[in-house]
Amino acid sequence: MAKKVIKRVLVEDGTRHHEMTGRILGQVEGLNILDIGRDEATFDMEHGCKMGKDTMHLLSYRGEFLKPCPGTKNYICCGYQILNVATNCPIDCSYCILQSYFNQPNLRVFVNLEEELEGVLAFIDSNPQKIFRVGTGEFTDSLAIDSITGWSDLLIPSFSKRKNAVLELKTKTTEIRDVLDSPFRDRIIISWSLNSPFITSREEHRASGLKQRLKAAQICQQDGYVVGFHFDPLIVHPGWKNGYLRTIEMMEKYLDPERIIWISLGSMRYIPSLKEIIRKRHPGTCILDGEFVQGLDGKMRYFKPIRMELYRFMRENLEKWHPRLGLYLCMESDEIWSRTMGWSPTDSDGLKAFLDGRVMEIFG
Amino acid sequence: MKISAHINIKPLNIDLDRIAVEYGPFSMSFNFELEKLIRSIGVNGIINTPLLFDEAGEKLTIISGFRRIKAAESMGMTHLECRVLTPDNITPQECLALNFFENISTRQFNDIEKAMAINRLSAHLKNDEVKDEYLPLLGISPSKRNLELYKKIDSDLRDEIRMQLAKGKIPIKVIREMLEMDNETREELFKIIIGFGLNNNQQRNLIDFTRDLASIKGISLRDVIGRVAGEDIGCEHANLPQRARSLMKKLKGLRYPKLSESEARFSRQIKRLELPKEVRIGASPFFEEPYYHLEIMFKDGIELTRQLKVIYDAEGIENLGDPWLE
Repeated sequence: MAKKVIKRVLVEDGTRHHEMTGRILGQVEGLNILDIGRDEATFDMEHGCKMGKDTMHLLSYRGEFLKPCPGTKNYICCGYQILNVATNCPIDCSYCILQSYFNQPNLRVFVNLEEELEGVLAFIDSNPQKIFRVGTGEFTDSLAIDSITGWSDLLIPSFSKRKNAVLELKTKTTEIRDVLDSPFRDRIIISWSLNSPFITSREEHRASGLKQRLKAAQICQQDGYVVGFHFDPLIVHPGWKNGYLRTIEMMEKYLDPERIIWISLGSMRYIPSLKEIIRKRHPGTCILDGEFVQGLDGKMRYFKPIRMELYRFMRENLEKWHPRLGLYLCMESDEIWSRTMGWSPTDSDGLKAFLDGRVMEIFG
Repeated sequence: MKISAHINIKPLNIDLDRIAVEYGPFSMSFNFELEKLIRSIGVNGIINTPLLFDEAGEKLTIISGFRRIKAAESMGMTHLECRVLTPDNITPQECLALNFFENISTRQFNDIEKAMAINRLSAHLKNDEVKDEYLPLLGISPSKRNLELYKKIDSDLRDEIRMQLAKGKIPIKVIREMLEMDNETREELFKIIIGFGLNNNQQRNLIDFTRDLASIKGISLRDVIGRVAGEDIGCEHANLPQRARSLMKKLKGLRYPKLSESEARFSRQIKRLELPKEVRIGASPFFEEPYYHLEIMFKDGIELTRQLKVIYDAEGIENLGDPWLE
């Protein structure tokens, strides 16, 4: 996918000396490569429909590479850690929050990752009592451009060695070649975002099809990897119950439930300013059609009974398949947890403990 | 040429008939009050003489002093002392800059005046220059999108809509949406806004609801707005704000059926309790929180005790619950 999508590469001043820059440029020979000054790529993206998805921008990231997921206030969050390897994504989902980051267009790949990784690992090692659930798939797709960036080659060996960390690579693609080539399996989770066939085909532009994703997950499982899934965002759409049932049936067909570490459920939510961008970039989308109200964190989310219906339905049907799938809700309230999941972690610490427990259970 | 150079130009007594008293290429005044100016001229005369541009045409063009000339005209004056400049001592671009800075330094522009200034400046300057240098002076965030918006406001809106914008009766966000609609839809929307006297918040909701309904029902925005315009809200004797509220309630019911039904059910639940007016039971916005709240107004402990007893005895209070569960 990666090599088909990327049309040009911008190399920011002062980044040529990084080894990752050299490796990436070696992978993109023949493409238009431009040297640019610092911050030169913040060209006018105002409500333009392009987000520079075909442009890879190599730069040094000047912030912290490992950061706690910002989560959201007044709802229960899972205590995830984000390893910030890149921002923006070659996939173009209509619901994606990254669309509101228009002041920073292009696929921004941080080529000082290799140098900064040492510090990240040292920090993890200095907190042996804590379990770090780390992922690279919050601000980009973890694997979509892996064949160019070599992230998995770099990260899997480092995380696989550590007893107090897991690395989750989250994707909507089938780009698993480099992952499969790795000899390491321990403490590595390959995850897929899932949705109904309708949403997958209509709203997740440039992503792999549902069946392909599940087949890729099957291959990873058969090759010794632990896998995870994220039904996020769950979206109310015509025939949504049948749609999500079909996805669950496909999971049953392709996957071993015992080797699934967790499945998260999150309903569609968005910051209010994203609505206008979505309407402009994706006319005809159905994702805004539901009854959205402003939540306690200021984000728009489905009216409570609608969210409850979604979660109950998913839980009931996933648990029919297997009772222990590590189901959890993303950014939901104690009330919703209790009313839909049959239990509640009560607060973010409780959810963190539950997911850390899953890590211990699966990886020891 | 700097403005100070014009001060030495000797004023001439100009026949007002020789002046083109309409929106000219340098004017940026729209929807202004002349009362105070007329009174000032009545007391002091015209202190600062208007500047005119003589391009050897039939009429003299106003560079600055549009309001003063309008005031003089309405006071029945036939002649006025003005300074007249020619292409020999000033360019049209300088005329425009002169009027712009004279105005911007002494008063606030309404949105139509901002649009007039931007469009006129754009005829002489590069877009980026107008965007980066002039938009901030007008209190507008310097973006290409805003530049295009204000240009369209000046060129595409008809006078009645312009007037409502200038008066602040239609917010700029709504105008932005209106400019993206075809003419017929825009006119229907305008008819609803004026016909129901919608306030700024109601206007924004109207657009939001109708856009969403168009998407949900798979019909055009024009069709949805057309249906709303023809809507019988069934409150003939109501005043305008009441009619506006009824319309918005109806629209909200269409857009948010579950939420609206839950809110209505909750109101009915509370009403059935027949609590005294000093006692109020409420819910968090959209019932998002799991709790309800009770507010009691009382003067002293005796009254509080009485209110609590009334609440305790209220028939059906134990059945009060989440209205969205029914």
